[in-house]
Amino acid sequence: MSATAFQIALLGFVLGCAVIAAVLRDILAVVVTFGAYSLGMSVLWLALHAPDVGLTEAAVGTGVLTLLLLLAVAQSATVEGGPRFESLSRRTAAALAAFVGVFATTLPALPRFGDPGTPVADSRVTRFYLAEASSPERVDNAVTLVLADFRVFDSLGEAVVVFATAVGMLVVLRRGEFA
Amino acid sequence: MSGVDEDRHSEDASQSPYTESLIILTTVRMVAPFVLTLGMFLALHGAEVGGGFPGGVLAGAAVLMLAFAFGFDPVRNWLRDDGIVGLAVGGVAVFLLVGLGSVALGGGLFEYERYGVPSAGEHGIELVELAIGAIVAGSVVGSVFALDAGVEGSTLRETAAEAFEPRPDSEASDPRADSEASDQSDEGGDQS
Repeated sequence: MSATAFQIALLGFVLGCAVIAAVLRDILAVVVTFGAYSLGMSVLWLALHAPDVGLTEAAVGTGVLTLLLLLAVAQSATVEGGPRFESLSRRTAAALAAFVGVFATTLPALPRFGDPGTPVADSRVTRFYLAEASSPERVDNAVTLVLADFRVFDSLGEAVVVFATAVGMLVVLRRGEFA
Repeated sequence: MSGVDEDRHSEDASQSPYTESLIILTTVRMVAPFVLTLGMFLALHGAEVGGGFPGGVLAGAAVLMLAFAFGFDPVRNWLRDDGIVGLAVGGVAVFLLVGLGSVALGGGLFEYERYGVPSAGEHGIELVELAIGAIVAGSVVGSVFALDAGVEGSTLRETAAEAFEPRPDSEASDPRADSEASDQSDEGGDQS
């Protein structure tokens, strides 16, 4: 299964938003462009049949992160006047082009999207998880089974990291309470 | 619309980022109940279609939408600090208890079958996903409200201005701090 025209158009939109967010000077415009980037990403996840990731991307990237950044911009200094775009020096452009070029060379090594012959799709571990998910005493959703049963210790760590960021926020802001 | 734009650039609007907009108010009033319902649905159906993380984020985002539309202060007065802390801390506590409970019953960490409940694997996953949802919702709402409130006793703008000015209190304890700093740099120089 190769990429459809819709997916390629979305990819172009996302890349365009990323470049615009990088070169704009007005921080407020950067935040809004970054929100558009996240919205494009969430629709792209949906087009790639990952609605749960798309939903989370929409809520976190477009909603919560945009609100956090807007609050930070509203409470700190903004750029007034000057040119609309960042000036890009020739040396920076060359370094960026080299960086992108080096990573582009790894693209042909990737398997095709949805390729049934990839090492991940037919590995022993994958087959074990799928067999467990289809057994009657387990949960049918293989992703949930991995996240909340086989690898629930990882999930515990991830959840505590989220909790720790909120506590860290209070420490940095020297506050005793959230609300 | 031009009035909204002028407000954003005026001086007193920069201190309180809230501006009332009919479009945002109407949209949030229509969308927020559905977002909250979907978030709760996903968090409560963790074993089948949902998941704690998207569910918690959506439920938190619904509260943040209300704050975005109606202003942070009214929502802050309605939302108590106990509620946010209870969600986040309670979620971590439930998650840890589910994991350690099976150890207490003689099994491994998170060995749901040890609890002896019918279809324990499914209920264990559901409880864990619910705990993740509570942690995420509490943390997301708490972080944004804490950032909006700023540093205790001053706004972020004042704190940022303070950080770039020479502080008088650092000069008071100058000699000791200076000698310590120079000692450390001397040691570093000797080692290298």
